[in-house]
Amino acid sequence: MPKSSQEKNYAELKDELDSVMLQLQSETTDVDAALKLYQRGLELVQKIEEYLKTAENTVKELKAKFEQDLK
Amino acid sequence: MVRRKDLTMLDNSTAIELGVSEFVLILNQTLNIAFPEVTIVGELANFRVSKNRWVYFDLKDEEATVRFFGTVYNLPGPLEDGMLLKVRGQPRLHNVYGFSVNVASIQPAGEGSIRKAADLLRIQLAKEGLFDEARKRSIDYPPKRIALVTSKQSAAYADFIKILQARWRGLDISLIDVQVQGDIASSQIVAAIEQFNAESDLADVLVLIRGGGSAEDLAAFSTEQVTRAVAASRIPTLVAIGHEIDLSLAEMASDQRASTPSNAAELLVPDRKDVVRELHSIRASLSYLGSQQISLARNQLAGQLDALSQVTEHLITQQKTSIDTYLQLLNALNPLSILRRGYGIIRHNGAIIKSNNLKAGDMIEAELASFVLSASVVKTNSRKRIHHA
Repeated sequence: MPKSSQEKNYAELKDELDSVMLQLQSETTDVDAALKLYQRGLELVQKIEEYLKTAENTVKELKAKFEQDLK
Repeated sequence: MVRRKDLTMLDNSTAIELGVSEFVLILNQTLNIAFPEVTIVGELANFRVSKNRWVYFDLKDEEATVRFFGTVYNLPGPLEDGMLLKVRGQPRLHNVYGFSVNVASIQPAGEGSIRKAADLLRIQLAKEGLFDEARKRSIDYPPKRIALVTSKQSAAYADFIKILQARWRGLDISLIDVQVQGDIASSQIVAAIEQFNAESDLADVLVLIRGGGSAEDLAAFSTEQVTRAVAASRIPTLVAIGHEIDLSLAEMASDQRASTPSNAAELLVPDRKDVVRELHSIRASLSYLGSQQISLARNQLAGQLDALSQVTEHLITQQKTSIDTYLQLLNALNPLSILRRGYGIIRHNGAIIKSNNLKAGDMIEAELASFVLSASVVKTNSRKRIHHA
């Protein structure tokens, strides 16, 4: 899976989402921060879903390619 | 008297008076003109060898005996009194020892005598170990360079070459053309074997062949000289003399014997057609085995690929499920969904009010689910805790 220097890998995205969830559940987080965290959380979920979708497609492509080569 | 004198005169005119040495000289000159060479056949008698070098014997028949003198180098092999011999030589009167025939060559004559001579020689050479199995070397198969000793005019040569070339290609064949029967056959064959063995780059095999013939025709291949030359050859030897039933001493001394010259060619090289057929069959089974192995490996690999994909897809699915859970949790924590339940966010100068630092007249904004209202503070009271009964 291609990964540029700015782009986070799956584990890093997941770590950040965990951290967002933790902060959101904290009593000291005020509403404005919570909104920002919420928005960031949604972004992370979307990124992770894209990541997983791409991973799924890559698995399918690779499998098809190797099945073709084996014939 | 006159008659007597006349007679004497007559005698003097016809009879030659000579000294002994003169007589010997003239007689030998006369013999040399009359019989430069003579071949005499007779039964061997009084055979003896002196000082391992000089040979004395007689040849006789029912009525006469002739003395012979020669060297051990003239002998075709061991001899025994009673054998029939054919001896070539020059008649001579010796100064001291009298008349004899000086031997040029000796050959056993007649089937019985030839066999007898061969038997005696075979026993002697066997004792020396010339025919031992342990001495036999293997011959390169197929050889590249063949040293051939035979008569170029013979059917044996033609058969050998024809079969060799029909079976195999690219052979380097050198021939030394020799006589394969008669007095000089032995010495020519020995010289040919020695010549091939003197080459700096030795041939892979030395082939000595001759077609069928009478025992006398084949005699050269059972002489001591030829048999020893074959045994001494540095080049491995293949010898085929006569037909299947003939077994010469040269064949016994060779590294490999062939029954006929044609058989020699068959032993020397494989038949290309057989080799090509065998290669085809090997190729077919190789390709069958190969494709079987490949298809087996391919099936295994396909199975592994399926398993690999399944594991990876399962992992991704798990992750997606866990992300769905995150999303639900995230939505539950969305502050806006709290506003929809009737809560409001109060701000003063854009900052959220968390403690009572407002006074009457301050302007505040209240953010609700679907609208924001601006208001002015009338009064602030500390919150009284509501105690539930």
